[in-house]
Amino acid sequence: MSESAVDRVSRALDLVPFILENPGIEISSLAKKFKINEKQVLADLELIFLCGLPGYTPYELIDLTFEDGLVTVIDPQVLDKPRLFNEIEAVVLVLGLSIMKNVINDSKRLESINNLQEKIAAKFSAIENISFTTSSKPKFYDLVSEAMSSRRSINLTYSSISRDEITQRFVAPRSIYLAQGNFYFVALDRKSNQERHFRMDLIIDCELSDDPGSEEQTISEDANLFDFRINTRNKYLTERYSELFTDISQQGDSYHARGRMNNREWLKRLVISNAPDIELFEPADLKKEIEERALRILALYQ
Amino acid sequence: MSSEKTERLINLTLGLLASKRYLTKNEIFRTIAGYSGTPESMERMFERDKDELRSAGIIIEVGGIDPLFEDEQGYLIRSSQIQIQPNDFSKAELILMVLAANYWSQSNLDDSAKNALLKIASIDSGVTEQIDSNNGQLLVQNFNHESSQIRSLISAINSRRYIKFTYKSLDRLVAPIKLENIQGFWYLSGMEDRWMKRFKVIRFESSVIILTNTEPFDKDQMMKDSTFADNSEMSLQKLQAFIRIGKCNNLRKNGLVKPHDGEWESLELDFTDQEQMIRDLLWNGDDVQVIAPTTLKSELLDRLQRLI
Repeated sequence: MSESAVDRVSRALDLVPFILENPGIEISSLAKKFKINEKQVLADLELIFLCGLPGYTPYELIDLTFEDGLVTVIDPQVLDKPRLFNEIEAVVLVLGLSIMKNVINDSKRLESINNLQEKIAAKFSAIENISFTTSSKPKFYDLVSEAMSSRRSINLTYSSISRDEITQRFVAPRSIYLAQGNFYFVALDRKSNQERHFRMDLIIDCELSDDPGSEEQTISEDANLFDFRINTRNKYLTERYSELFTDISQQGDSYHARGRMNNREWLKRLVISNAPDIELFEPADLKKEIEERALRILALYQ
Repeated sequence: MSSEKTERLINLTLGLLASKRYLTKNEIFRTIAGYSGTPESMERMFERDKDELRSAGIIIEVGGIDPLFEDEQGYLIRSSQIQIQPNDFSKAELILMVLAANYWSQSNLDDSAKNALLKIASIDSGVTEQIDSNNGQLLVQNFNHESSQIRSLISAINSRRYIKFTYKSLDRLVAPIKLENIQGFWYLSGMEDRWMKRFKVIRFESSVIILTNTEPFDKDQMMKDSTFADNSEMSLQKLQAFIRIGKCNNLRKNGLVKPHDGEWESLELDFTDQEQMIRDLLWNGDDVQVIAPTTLKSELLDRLQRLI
């Protein structure tokens, strides 16, 4: 679909102040930043070069140079300042600041963030009606964060949901993320050299190790293919674990979902806890184990 | 796409932005490059141009030129209404905004975050260069929503316009009031007829259409007249169960655990969502044995029978 004139106008109004603040920027870099190709950047620059203020003499036109792949604005006329944030940009900033407030400790910084949020929100009445709720900051957030920035490993006492066990782990944290309202971190398990994801609120105890963080390569595991049929009344399941499903399609009153997973215990628990809405096809050998577990549960009630 | 039209729109924006006073249509047609033809065709051209610029968020102010001649209208764009002013944000605030925008770099809102970063880099390029987006800070992930849909909803809430979409196979006409992200999912609260309802955005079966041709709704009046749809199918219940010693960590952390014998402990736990409770119990396999409520126990056994 061809681009509308107004989209190009919006980009031109953003390009001029950006180049003004970043003189001598490469066209390839502009193309990357503005998510267009170099040909489009050149076409935009040629167009901007023809625009200006009434009179339209060389003194009133926007003046810029683009030679040898480098661009500089000589005279932006009135386009010397960027456009205001639009409503969605403002929302992204304000919600990002809300997340930041949840994880910082510095009360002075908290006040600055509150003031900044008010300043951005002042221009958009919608912002007070948009919220992003996360769980409260986990007890060991700062320690995991410190281990990551100082490249050190940590000793964890962790309550594993999939195995329903309290385990001792020695891991090197690599990144922290927020998903479905919970804080997680990705770490290299120093024993197996495999990457693992941990939910921070499930850490029972945690301490920094003197052992420097590892630069070892992660060993990738061969994950099992799983193949489910999920009843459409349990749509939540497809939404909750959407990142696990590489392929999902609706067939009548069920979803056919496939993906890869190396945690067989988790798969078994998922199928049993969502019975009878999930029917498992692969891994086929898990079916027998699931049936045996169901019989063991039923036996408790006889 | 016509380059001439784009050029005229840019020139019109620059002309109105540079002016210190309202410009009449005649002055615009005479001085801004790109307007030609009969007075009627220039008039139509200008009306379309104004609408298009406004759709891009450019505020064109309309004002009287001469108090004695009220019919004569003029047009102006104020820099403070469309551009960030040099003293709007301190350097410390720009840094906070860069950090806040970087949280979204692995989410579906990344495009909007990057656009905000471009604007920050247009104020002070040093700030964005200083902070590496992959410097190990927190990232929002698994954000499984169409960003265009979220953008439309935010825009509709901001402009107080009705929206249309399909939900549970029904075409809906809703006044959007509130958008909340709870545990990673966006929910829209809005008025359908006189009922305040909550819709899970991921379950919308069509894109969102904003009815821009209707008048903005009066949110305060609407809230006064509203009746909340009763979604409270959930009542408080008490679970009584035995759990194996050292097991069922997801249940024991929220309940009251007492010793029972050498193998089992007793657990009491309040809950409202029976579906979720059945899932939590089944997750623990034969490490939990339900005593009460009996309705929950029989539902759990029925589900297990269907697995065999």
